[in-house]
Amino acid sequence: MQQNIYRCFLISVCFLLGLGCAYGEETSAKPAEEEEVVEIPLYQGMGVKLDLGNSIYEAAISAGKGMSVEAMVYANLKRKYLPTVEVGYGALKRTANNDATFEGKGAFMRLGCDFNIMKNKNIENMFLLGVRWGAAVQQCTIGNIIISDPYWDITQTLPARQMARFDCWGEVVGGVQVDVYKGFIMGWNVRIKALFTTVQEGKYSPAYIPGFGHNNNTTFSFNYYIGYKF
Amino acid sequence: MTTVRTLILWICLTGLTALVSCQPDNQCRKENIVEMQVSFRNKAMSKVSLDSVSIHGVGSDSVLYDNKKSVNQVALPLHKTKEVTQFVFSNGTKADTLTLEHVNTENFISLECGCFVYHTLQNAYSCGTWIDSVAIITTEITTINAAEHIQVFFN
Repeated sequence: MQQNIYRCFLISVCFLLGLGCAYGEETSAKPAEEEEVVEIPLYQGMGVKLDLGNSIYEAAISAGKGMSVEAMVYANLKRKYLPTVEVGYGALKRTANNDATFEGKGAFMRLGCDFNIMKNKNIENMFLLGVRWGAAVQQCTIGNIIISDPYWDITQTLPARQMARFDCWGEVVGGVQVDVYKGFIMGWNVRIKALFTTVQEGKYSPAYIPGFGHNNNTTFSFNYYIGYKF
Repeated sequence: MTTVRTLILWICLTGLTALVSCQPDNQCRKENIVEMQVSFRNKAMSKVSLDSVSIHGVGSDSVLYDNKKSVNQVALPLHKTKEVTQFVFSNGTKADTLTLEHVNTENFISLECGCFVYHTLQNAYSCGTWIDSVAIITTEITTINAAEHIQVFFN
């Protein structure tokens, strides 16, 4: 199943890249003398996006025990700056190989800005680079942690630990956004994330952070989205 | 357009790498052995090797070292749920019991690794039938392997 998702994702990426390149080629073919320097007004509209890729991916890797829904709103300023707010909800139930369990659910929000790095700002498709600050609150439970020692013949299950967590992180985002049909947009982005909040060594820490992903100091994630711009 | 295409390629490759690397690792890859390192010393404080050494924990049916030849250092597991651990040392003719008082601390490592129990040594002594004295060198016993936690001086 996972292989199929990867295949679909890659096909879609190629499709989007193809669109982006085609538009780029078309525009760059114009003779230089026809180009006019036009001052672009500040407000160029706004858009909403709904993440599909991350949701599918989250569901796939956690074998249906995880979910992540995410929506984004952005404003288009001068076709160059796109201040963005992203909000979502994530949940995960996970059992490790040692039968330890994690269950967490919570909401997250990211604030940041994308920058359209296309030289020609008059075309609707965009290559975006951006930064985000993300924060998540969640309730989680770590259970079935077993302490064992075959020499002393010990097997003891520790009581489940419940936590309320606040975590924050930073992201660098890169991706593309293309116009598909009459205001409908599609796109994807890749995010590299670094966690700012740390846990004292030896203390319980969540295995998953909504909006951030599986708890490592740095991680990658994807958004593959559809949307509409006004 | 060359720059843009390079950028596209870069983003695409980053994406592919991310697809592969986002899988959570279900295996614990941390060193999980927590043992107390015990070195054998003579009265002149220098390391000494003992022959025919047998060691077992009081309360356990298993033998840790059975009639070992030429031993000058041993690694012993402390009890994870009790705060006093005893080991019986013998060499066929002499025997003694080493008692260790320690505090146990549960350290959560990760979901995959669970909790490791670390120990803080508080006291160490013997009955005095074979072991002359015991010196605590390093009190913290963790997965980081110290050269020696205690020195045991034999008569």
